Amino acid sequence: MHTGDHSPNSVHDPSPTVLLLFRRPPFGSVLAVEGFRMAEALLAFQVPLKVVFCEDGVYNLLKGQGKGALGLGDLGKAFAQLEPMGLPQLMVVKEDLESRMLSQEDLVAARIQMVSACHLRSLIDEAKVVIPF
Amino acid sequence: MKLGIILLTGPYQHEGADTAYHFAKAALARGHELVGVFLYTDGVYVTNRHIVSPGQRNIAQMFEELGLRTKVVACGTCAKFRGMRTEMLSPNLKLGGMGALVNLIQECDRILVFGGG
Repeated sequence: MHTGDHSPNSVHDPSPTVLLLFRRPPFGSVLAVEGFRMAEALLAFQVPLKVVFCEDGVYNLLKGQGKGALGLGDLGKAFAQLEPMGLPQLMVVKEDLESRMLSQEDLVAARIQMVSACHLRSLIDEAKVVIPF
Repeated sequence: MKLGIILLTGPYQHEGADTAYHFAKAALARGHELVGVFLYTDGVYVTNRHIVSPGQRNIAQMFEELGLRTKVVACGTCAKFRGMRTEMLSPNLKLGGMGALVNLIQECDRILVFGGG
């Protein structure tokens, strides 16, 4: 079970911040794809949104994801296209990227902000709703 | 307190649907307002009135009962991808768009998410 902000300021907030937390890799389950679809929808409804990739979720932003025999899409390219829809930036937990021997150069061309695991905790605290994918 | 629930997992795979149901019941019993439940990804399967569960709790009936006390809306696109049709839904449960999720987020003091990554 996951809950978001617990401050009184969040009560009946007409513009709540939603944090989509991508923890799972792009393949192996439908979670990342469905999370992407939710991000698109929330942006379309102009809901203030933050998108963070942590743990194996950082693989979602790898560039050069091929469709392969399964015919699945390139989620990296898809996430990069959220910016023109109104998402200021994608956020990646630096420690999780580095522990997988990856760097920002391995990721798709997009406005990406590296955040610390400590900062992620603040983002979770500040959000009204945290939805993990 | 005005509460909302998002369910991201299907019935009989993990316990998220059971936990969400029992949480909802407990919250209502304590006098909280449950504004609604939004079913996403495999969570939409709890709306299937054809679920038969010999000797076990029937999760579709549990959510049907919950639907008498609050809005229970399943993501229509998720349902389409899973071959669910309106005529398969339990009474009191509906298909809806992402606007229903946005409304739920805006109307509630707290949103609780069951299942997911």
